[in-house]
Amino acid sequence: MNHDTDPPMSPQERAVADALAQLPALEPGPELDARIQAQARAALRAKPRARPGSRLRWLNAGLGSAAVAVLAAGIAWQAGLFTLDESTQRAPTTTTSFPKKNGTRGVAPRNRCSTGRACIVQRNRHAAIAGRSGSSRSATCKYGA
Amino acid sequence: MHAHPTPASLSSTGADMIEPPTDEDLMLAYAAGDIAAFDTLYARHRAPLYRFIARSLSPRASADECFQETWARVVKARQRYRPDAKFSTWLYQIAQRLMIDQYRRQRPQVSIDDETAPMHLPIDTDAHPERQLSRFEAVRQLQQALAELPVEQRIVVQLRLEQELTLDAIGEITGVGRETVKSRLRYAMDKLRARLQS
Repeated sequence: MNHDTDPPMSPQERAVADALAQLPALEPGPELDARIQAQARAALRAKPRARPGSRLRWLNAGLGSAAVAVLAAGIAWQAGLFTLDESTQRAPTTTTSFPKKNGTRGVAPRNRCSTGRACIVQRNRHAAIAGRSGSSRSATCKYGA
Repeated sequence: MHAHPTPASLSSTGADMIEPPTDEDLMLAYAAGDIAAFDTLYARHRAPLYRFIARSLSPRASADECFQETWARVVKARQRYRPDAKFSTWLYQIAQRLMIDQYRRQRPQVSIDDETAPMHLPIDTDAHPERQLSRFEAVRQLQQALAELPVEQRIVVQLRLEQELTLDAIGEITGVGRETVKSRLRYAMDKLRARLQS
């Protein structure tokens, strides 16, 4: 507040101020007083509520985390990082062979199976299984070879 | 910023209290749960605030509604209250905004209703009847002249000449600069003078 720099009231302003002071006094009625004071008391008694939206924020955070987890799992599955348990994934007992041009049997390339078809989708799984079992020859692919 | 007393110290009426608590202390104490602090604060401001509102809003029911809503907002905002500015400035800011909203919504004709009419002035029994009548007439003309001012100018006149606030405080309440306050006051005084001389 800057009281010192306020100019003093002019005589005209002072006259109006005096006239305003002569106006009938206005005050709130007792019922209005009672209503306002009751409102102030009720506000103190009221249980403080959680801030609006806080529950929604927790819900959003939970859903977001779940979505991220599902996305991460999907990416990992596609990348071949997940395989079925080895006990349920029976390794083939026979070696996957691939005919050589000269008639002898050879080993299938990592991205090809005995059907001779490119097994691009399963390539990474071949690699993962082969990595654990030590040889890509023990892998199976989606063509059943 | 000075240290604010605890709510307990505000509620007590012990003789060790030399200076009455400030409005800001009372508001903080109320926010902390001291209802007696609110009662003191309300008692301090009820009459001047009501006068401020009722001079601009008519009928009385509108003034009552605006007055109650002003205090309702004070109560609601108690937890967020920070004594950065004077409590009274904040209180009149709230009231002023509500008044202007209501005024624009309803475009009320500020009239001299029954309770504000000059006949409710205290009668000086020793005064000559003609002088008494003249006084009534002067008051009636002033009320009419005030009612004809644009609401922004009327608010400045009331805050400056009735509540005797500083120009800076009025600027804070009305959200305009000091020069604008001065300009509104000057225009209002010119209109009042012209109206009262005619």
